[in-house]
Amino acid sequence: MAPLGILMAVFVFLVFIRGFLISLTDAQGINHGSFIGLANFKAIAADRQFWTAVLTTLEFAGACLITQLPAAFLLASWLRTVRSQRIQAVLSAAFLVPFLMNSVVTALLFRMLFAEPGIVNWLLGLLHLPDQVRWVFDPEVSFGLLVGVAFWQGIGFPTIYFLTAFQAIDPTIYEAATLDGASAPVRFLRITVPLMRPAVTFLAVTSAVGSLVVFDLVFLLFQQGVNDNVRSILIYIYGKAYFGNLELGLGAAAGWIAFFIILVVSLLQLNVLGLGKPQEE
Amino acid sequence: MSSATRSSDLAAAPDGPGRLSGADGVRALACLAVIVFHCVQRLYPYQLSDAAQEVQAFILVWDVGVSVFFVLSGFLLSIPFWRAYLEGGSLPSLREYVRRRAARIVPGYYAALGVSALLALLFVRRLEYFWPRLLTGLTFTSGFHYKTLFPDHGIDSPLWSISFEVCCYALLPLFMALLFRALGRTRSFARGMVFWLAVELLLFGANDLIHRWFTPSSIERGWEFGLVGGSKWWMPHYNPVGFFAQFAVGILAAGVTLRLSRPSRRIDRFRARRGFDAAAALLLIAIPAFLWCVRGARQFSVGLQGQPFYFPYLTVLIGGLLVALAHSRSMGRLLDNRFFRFTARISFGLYVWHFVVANLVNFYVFDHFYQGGMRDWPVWALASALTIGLSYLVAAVSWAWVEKPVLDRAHRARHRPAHWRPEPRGRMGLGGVVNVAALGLLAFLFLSPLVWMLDLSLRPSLEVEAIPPMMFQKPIWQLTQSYTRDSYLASFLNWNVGRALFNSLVVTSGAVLLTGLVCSLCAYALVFMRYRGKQVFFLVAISTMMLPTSTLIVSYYRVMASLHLINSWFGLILPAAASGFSVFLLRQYFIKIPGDLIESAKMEGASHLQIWWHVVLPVARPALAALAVVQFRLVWNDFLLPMVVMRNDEYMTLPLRLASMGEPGQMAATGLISILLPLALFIAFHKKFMETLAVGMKS
Repeated sequence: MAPLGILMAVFVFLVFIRGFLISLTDAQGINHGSFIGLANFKAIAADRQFWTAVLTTLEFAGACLITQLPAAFLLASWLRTVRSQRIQAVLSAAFLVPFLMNSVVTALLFRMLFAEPGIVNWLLGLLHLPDQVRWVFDPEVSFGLLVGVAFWQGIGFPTIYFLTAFQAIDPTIYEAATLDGASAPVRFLRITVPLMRPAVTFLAVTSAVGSLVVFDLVFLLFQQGVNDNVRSILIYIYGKAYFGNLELGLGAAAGWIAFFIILVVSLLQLNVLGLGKPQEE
Repeated sequence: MSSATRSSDLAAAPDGPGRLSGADGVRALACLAVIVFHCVQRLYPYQLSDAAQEVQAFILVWDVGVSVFFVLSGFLLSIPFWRAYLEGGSLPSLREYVRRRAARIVPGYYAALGVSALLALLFVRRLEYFWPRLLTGLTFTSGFHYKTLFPDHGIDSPLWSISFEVCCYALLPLFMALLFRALGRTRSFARGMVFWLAVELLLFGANDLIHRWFTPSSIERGWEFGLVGGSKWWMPHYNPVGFFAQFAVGILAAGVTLRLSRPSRRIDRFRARRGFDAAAALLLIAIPAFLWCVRGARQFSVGLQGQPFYFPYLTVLIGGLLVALAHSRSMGRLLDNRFFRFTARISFGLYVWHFVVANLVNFYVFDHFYQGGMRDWPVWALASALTIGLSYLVAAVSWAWVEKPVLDRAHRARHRPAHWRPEPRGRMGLGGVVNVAALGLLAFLFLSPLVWMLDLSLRPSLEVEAIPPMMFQKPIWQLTQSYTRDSYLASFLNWNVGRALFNSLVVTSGAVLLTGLVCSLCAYALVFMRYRGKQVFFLVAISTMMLPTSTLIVSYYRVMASLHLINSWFGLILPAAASGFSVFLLRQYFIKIPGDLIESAKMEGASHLQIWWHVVLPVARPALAALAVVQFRLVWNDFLLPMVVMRNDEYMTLPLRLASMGEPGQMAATGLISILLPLALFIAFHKKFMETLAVGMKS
């Protein structure tokens, strides 16, 4: 316990406090800067781009949630109909492959697929649809692209989780319900869905925590072409601290604010979804 | 190279019946001899002192370890046949014999062959006879021609001997069947011996004919002409028949061993007076003495018919040693010490992997660690120590994850009750088939980007950006026509992907190990110990799960810099271990461990550390496996933290390297490589991962 305590003290709390201290300075590049009070926080709070980034991130997290969870639920229900355990395991593992890959591969792969003379546009052309779409650069479509890629990457885990949760349901409940004359849709709505609630909560929270700090996917999918519609908080922070003027103080301040925003959002979510205490047994 | 055969209850072995005393020790010695030989080979001789040169010349004949393996295999494998023969039984089941041999060597050998073929594709610029070598390697026939003698392209040289070994495996039951058939009516020890001596004579004749008819031409013959030239130089000397002659010496020794275990007052007295121990000790001195005498002799000059490994002189000494050890009272026990038994158990892995390890050490760590390349002996010693240590590691992993599972399965299959049938499966109706087909199609569409990526990685760079993609330009049977390995070669040679892979491996395995250690200790303290502030610490620890710490990258960099962790593996390993989630996961599992288990251990006076290591960790294996999968995926795939910490090209992990490459084909190749390991790990731990998921769900 002591070793973990030390590691946590250093890599969580020290980092946290150090972040605050840096945010009080005008550090720039290798220059450690001098104390300037809360000026950085004021600057960030006044920066429209920061709040846009926060909004974009929240929208992205929301979009991930409402696309992935229902789809995963349906997919898991479908997979459950496969009788053979072995085939079911293979099929569900297939959907998990993107989840095991790193986002760098995913991002670069989709960047190539959605390039401008690229395979997706070519396929659209075959179907006589608009085939000159600038997926990566056009702000109109890039948010959709990002959500789509995140969907591809993220659907595997909730699917497997739901599938495992289905299997944990006592089959006698269904038998009893069938004897009572409940039809299949009724059984689904009255038994399966309520029993899935804890699973939904868990997945919603973990998925949100993950997508609120999205970085690699955006960074590599759009590279230099990041626009306001896809600029996540982390991208904003990274850009402030490591691009242009290397304003580390500003980056640290933005990080500190973002830290609390994200924390509050996830805690709120925990409460709204009715899990007051964080996963006590 | 084969497993110790469960064969004998004669000489009482140290750990009970079922093992021939001394066999493990001899196997370990042979295996270590071969490894040391391959290390010493890499030392440049002419800058050493005279005495050291003599020692080097002495060690340079230790490749005779291979010959020991052959004699040992003949010895152990023939014992069931001999026993059946002498006790008037019928020929032992050949199906069982084949199944056992296959289970013993196929998994490890195929793994090594696959890896060396892969490495050859990645690193060897001019590949000779790739497909013939792979094909003959897979069918254990590579030893029949000099072009294929080394199926490994020089990456895992010891593989040459496996096809000879398998040939011996096939010939043993053949001749034994003949013995049972032709001389089966009236059996005696003498008849059996005469039969096998006659076989030896026959082999002499056959060997002579082989030398006469199959000696390769002298064009480009010799090691200076590369692998094929080297094989030509070895080839009439190294041949399947010749090696079976060595194998047969082991068979003869086994016959003698069984004969000596028949009750006899004279032999018992000899044994009681430690006559066999004395003989074994004498032979253990005689063999190195013999090798000392023949050091530096021209290869194939000592021995009959130009056979390798000083046949039959040395071979007979080895056979004698095996007989003496099997009947010895303490020599065998001495040789079968714990370390040698462990070495013997993983010896096949050591044998097939150590050369690959040495070559990788040469490629990535010590530039001059190739044959005759090391001029500085302390550096050489370091490189050799690294090679031996890593070989033990790889061999242990290969034993635990590749060889043992297959052996266990083969063993289980044998011990199934006779009426055993596979479990009945639910029949799938037409609807079920359509359902599965539809899901399969969906899964295929879902994964089709990866198929495209695979195709991309194999295309020459000119075809990569073609629109419509080349995949759709040609009929399906011509798809693979222009495939090349160029992208893979380029990413390894120009982009040093190997180094990035190595970094990723070090960082990830370090992080997984450290997390397991630190977090299980912490979870142990949280569950099984009582002290103040426990609840608070737990809440703090798990609430870090919810903290979006990655927003604080700026200060991460500062903290790392002040700890001197920039450009250091530990810069990625240490923060990964501060994982609240891991503590939480392990705690959930630990709570379910019955308290009695811990209490009884405490009663026996075990300390907390002992209980943690000996009681709790073994029980919590599924949770640890799940933790490994989760942490591995997290650290292996991480991008932001490495980008902050690893500022130097040399320390880049795979995702960083990937992001810095520009060419699509090479990105696809490297991307695929980076996917493989997490995928393999997930498949390996799939079951335990799901179990833990289910356990976690119930709480």
